[in-house]
Amino acid sequence: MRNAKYLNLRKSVVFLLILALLLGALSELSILLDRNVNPLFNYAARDLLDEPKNSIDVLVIGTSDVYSAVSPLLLWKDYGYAGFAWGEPAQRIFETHEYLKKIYRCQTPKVVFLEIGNLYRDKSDAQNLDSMTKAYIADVFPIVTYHRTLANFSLANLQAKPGSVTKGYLIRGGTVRVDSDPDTYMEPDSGTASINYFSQQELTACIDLCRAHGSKVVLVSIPSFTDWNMEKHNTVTALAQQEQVSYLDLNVELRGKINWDTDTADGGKHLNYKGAQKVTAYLGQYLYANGPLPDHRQDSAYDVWNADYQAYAKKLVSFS
Amino acid sequence: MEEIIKILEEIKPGVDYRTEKNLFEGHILASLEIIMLVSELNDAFDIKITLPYIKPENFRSAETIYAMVQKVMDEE
Amino acid sequence: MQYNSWLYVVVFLSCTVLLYYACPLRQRWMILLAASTAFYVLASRQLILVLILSAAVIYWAALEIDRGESRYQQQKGLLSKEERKRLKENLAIHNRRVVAAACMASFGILFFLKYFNFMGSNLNLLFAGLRLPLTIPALHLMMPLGISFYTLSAISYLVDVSRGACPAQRNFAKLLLFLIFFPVITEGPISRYGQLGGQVAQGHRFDFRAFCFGIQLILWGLFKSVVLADRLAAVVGNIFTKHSDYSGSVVLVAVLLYTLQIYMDFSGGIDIARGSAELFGITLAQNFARPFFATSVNDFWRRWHISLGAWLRDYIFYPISLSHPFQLLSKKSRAHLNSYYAATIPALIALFAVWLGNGIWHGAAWKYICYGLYYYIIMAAGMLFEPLSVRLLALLHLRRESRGWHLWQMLRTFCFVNLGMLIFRADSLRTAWTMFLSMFTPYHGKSLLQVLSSQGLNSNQLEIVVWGAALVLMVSIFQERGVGIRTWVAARAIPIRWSIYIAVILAIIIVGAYGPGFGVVDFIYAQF
Repeated sequence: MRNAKYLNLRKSVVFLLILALLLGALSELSILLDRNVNPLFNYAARDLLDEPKNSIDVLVIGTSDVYSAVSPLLLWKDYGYAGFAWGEPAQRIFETHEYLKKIYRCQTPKVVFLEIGNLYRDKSDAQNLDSMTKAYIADVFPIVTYHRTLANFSLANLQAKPGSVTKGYLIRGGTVRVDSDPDTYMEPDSGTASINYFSQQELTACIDLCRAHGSKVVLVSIPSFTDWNMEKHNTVTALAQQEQVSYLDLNVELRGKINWDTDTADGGKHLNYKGAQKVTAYLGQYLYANGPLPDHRQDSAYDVWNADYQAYAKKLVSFS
Repeated sequence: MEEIIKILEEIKPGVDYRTEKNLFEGHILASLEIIMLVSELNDAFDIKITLPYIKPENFRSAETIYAMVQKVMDEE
Repeated sequence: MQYNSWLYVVVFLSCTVLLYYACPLRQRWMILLAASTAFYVLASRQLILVLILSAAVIYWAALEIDRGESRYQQQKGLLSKEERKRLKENLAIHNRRVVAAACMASFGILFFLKYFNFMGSNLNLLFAGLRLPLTIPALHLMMPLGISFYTLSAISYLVDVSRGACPAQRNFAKLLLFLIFFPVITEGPISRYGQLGGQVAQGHRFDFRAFCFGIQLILWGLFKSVVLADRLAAVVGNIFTKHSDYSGSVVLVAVLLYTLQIYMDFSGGIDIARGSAELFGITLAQNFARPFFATSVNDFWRRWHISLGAWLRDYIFYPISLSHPFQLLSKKSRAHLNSYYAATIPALIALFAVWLGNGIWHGAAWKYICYGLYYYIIMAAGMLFEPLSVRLLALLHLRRESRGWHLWQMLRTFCFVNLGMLIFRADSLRTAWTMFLSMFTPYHGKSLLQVLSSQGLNSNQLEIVVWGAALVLMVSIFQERGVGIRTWVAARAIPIRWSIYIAVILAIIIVGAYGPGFGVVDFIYAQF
């Protein structure tokens, strides 16, 4: 009887080990295969981990808004700043936290922009806890995040060159104008929009982590016609005060400058490359005004950035 | 017993009620047939089969139905 | 917390299992109660009080009936036959009153929360029509999790106690656990106290084989819901929303895909629920038995959402058709009609209540009521024409037992069911009707595959759906022939058995339809 119990236990452990090994191996494979897949998935964010150690000074991290609206190579061209946009579709704050931990192992950015659209993704505490669980699982088995590259893959991806030319930015050329009344965007409202408890806790943890590494933290929200409003603005403004960090709501700052007929890729959810230029220009000015960051344009260690910029500029021409 | 089998055969012919033991769960007697059966039994034996008796174990076979009728008669 | 979420499977269920078996045998049910309460509070917060209120009413009523019964048992030896009979009659009246009051209270809560606004809006229309200066305000009502399920379970418990079919539970916490048990609270099966009540309250020893069976069932349910149902949600939703852009085959396929989606979703959820319960050594009632092998709509409802059909049968159909007026009616009709119709016509009246109840239970909208009555009409027509069709078949020399006839019946039922699903899914009755008519107008736009692809189901996705559905169909055929899939798997040698487990787990993780903006990637790319 006792023997049978131990046999079952041993069998279960062996089974779980095999499963874990398989999931681990497939996770690695899924990351390799994800290079240059459908750009809309844009899991190019991980390319940051391939950059030379401690070479990135500015990090912008968050959801799809980050890779749609922030083009680090524009910062490079205008100011010589070395930046990277780590955006992933529907990223949750729990994932942001896990990624930040990973990033700090090889980079120590001087400024970190936390894009906080991800605070409003989960609609309930249960979803919130689910996102948290998923983030922890994905940290051990990234296959949970990149599974789709395995479901439909091409072996050619294995030979693709690592490293992102655009430093995480995705050039979105198309334009689908906003369909609804432009006056409904950011209508004055003194109300608030509550943030799930666990998301808020995790944001504090992210801020603390960045501070512990000596980075300056700036909360930022990217213009989005459909996803942002004054209630959220009010809530995050109060939150930023409480956490004593700066908050740039570009929905407010760039109000009137973003043209919702020409600057959005999908009817007001995400910006296209025209909108991205405006957002990036604003961030550049902000960085320039708020303290010295090194200009690497004459730095030979960064020669490849000039080449990347040329390649990027060429790509951009084909869109405009 | 014979009378019950006769009633059953009237309600749904083509079943060997002497051997079949799965009348209820096998859906040989669906709810409609159960109702018909109960009314017929009430009439034939002048009893009143009430709701507590309508449960699967009473309708599995002709024998269980017979036992149920006996029990109702005893109660009354 | 959804049953197919990481949170449920990886954290909640695992922790509950560990705590359950770490606890002494006699206290194990408390772990289930604590876990179920946590599950409930996470979903509905303070609305758990509504559930506790219903449970308390039912608890009290059952004890009241029990007390009367034991008083009767004590006294009956001392009384004459005449007195005994009178006492018993009085008791029966008292019990009926208690049951009625408690049912009214529980149903009242359900009706108020679920149907108040529906009734209000319809009454307002009526008032407006009559030019009465009255309006019933719409209330912002929150529904406690699973209220439609636990209310039915609670009432079945009370009625069963009054019928003497099960004993009254003296421990309120144990009764509460029966109602709130987390695997059944979100979508059933609607449980009976006699089947589940004792099981949840009792401690179960760890049984490795049953545990593995539970895991198998959970994996199978996850496969159905994550790989198939979730993959179809987007394309079905898109076509139903923009149905006026389409017609003919596109609408037809959308309806078929919806039927597939809802079956995978519902039966998958139930598989996860049953598997979860099995991890604790608890067996839940079956809720599905390969519904698409049904040969009539009657048969379909014996195989689809079984626990709802059984509830309506036991607590609506039988009580009505065995009630005194109905017995009289059936006696009278026997005097005037042949025996078939004599039995059928009273039953048809009782069945109307059943199907009305079925429709209303599904939701507060006319389309749900029509959904129930739609099945009623098909079933009633079938019953009324039964003698005719028997004669017709004999005339045409068609054998009812033949394979061809069987297939025809299955196909016919399948069509009826799909039409029912159309009513169920469409925004309103009018939409359902428009969509139904549009199926007969050929669609001249892009090819069907192109439409599906543009609406979120490209050829890769479609391929996964086809293979997945084929796998489910194959398993169903085996089950229909009486093969126990899980016993079969358990009897394989370790390499094969483990490969099967791993294949299913990997299929769920790799081809599962989860992650950012699933399904709309090729189209709007807007959901991220």
